[in-house]
Amino acid sequence: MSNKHFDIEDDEIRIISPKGKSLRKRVSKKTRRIIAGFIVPVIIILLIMTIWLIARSGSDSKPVSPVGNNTENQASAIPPQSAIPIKKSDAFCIVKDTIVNDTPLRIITPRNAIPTLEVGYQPSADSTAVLAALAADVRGDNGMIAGAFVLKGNLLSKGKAKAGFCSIINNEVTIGVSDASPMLEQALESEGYFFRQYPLVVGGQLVENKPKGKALRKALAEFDGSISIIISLDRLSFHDFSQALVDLGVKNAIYIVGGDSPVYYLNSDGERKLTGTPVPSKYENINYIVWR
Amino acid sequence: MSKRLVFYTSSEIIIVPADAVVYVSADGNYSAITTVDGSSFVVTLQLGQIEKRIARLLDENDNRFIRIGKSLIVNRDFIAFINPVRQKMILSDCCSFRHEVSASKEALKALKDFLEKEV
Repeated sequence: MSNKHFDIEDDEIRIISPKGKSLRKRVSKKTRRIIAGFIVPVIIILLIMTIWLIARSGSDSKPVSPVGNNTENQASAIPPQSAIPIKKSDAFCIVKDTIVNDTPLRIITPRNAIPTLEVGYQPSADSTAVLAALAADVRGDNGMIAGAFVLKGNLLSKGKAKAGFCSIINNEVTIGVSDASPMLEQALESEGYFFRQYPLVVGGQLVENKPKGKALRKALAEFDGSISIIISLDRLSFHDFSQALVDLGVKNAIYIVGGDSPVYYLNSDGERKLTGTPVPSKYENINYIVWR
Repeated sequence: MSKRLVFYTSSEIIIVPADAVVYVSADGNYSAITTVDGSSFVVTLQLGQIEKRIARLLDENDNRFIRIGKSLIVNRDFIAFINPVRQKMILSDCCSFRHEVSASKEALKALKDFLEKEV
């Protein structure tokens, strides 16, 4: 039996039988035929067209601007994901399921979309939303938003319930941890947005939090140069979720409302999807982070 | 008596009944043979070499072992659960042990389809 006979790819299975009479089951044959027969020629044609267009446009191309300096320690800003004018139809989410150390995660990354916060909002009625998820917690006792919350420059809620924060200033999302963040002031001055949540990961390091129970967890995370929403598909403790994010390679992350809370997103096929369960607007301060 | 699988190198020999092998996983140049009593024998053989030995030692119509991708051989008698989307497979006798292993979505989908056809 030659070694070639025993070669196998990760997407294949093979029934092991005696005398080398192995049944080889190439699961991706059809896919490979499609790739070889259709996708590869299309990619080559697109590549040639792109090179031709770039050669024609010549000096029209603009250099990519560098990422701005951080305004404080343990916080980082992600620039808008495109410097060119955004066409609505180009906005969508890249959705990727992965497993990190036996922890299944779903990573939802908006593309060509602008983030904002919304209060008293119904995402199911918003056909322009590319991605929407509950952001800050709402207190059960008085229905107020927990921690400082800024909506388009207006301070709706005060306090430091949690040390993690997210600010959106000039369409740039900043995630970090700080008891007194200048991003709050900037959000107030520049008609920006700001909310607080539990910090999970700061500078690639795990942050411990007090709540010990297990639940489905969600995070707003800076991952792979983009801002993503990462959802655990299993019930996890805060510690295990933070550890999974660290292992995934997340740089900074804060918690967003977890459990069975809804996340609405538009996938690359233009299909509107929902994970979790829609929530009735029981509280007028129910708030979402929304990309459009 | 169940057919025995024998794996040996210059320095060691492992003899286990085929019925008792739950799965074999690859770890670089090593392979770990996990058995029903929870033991795990690490042997200095690559998974491809383990596969060859199994193929050589088993009876002609014995096809209980399945190679899944580059990193796993499982005993189909213990496959209890497969979820290709979550890349999850549980190997269990539904009584005394339960092992969760992972493989590619495509491979698990193929395995699921294969087992469905056999029903």
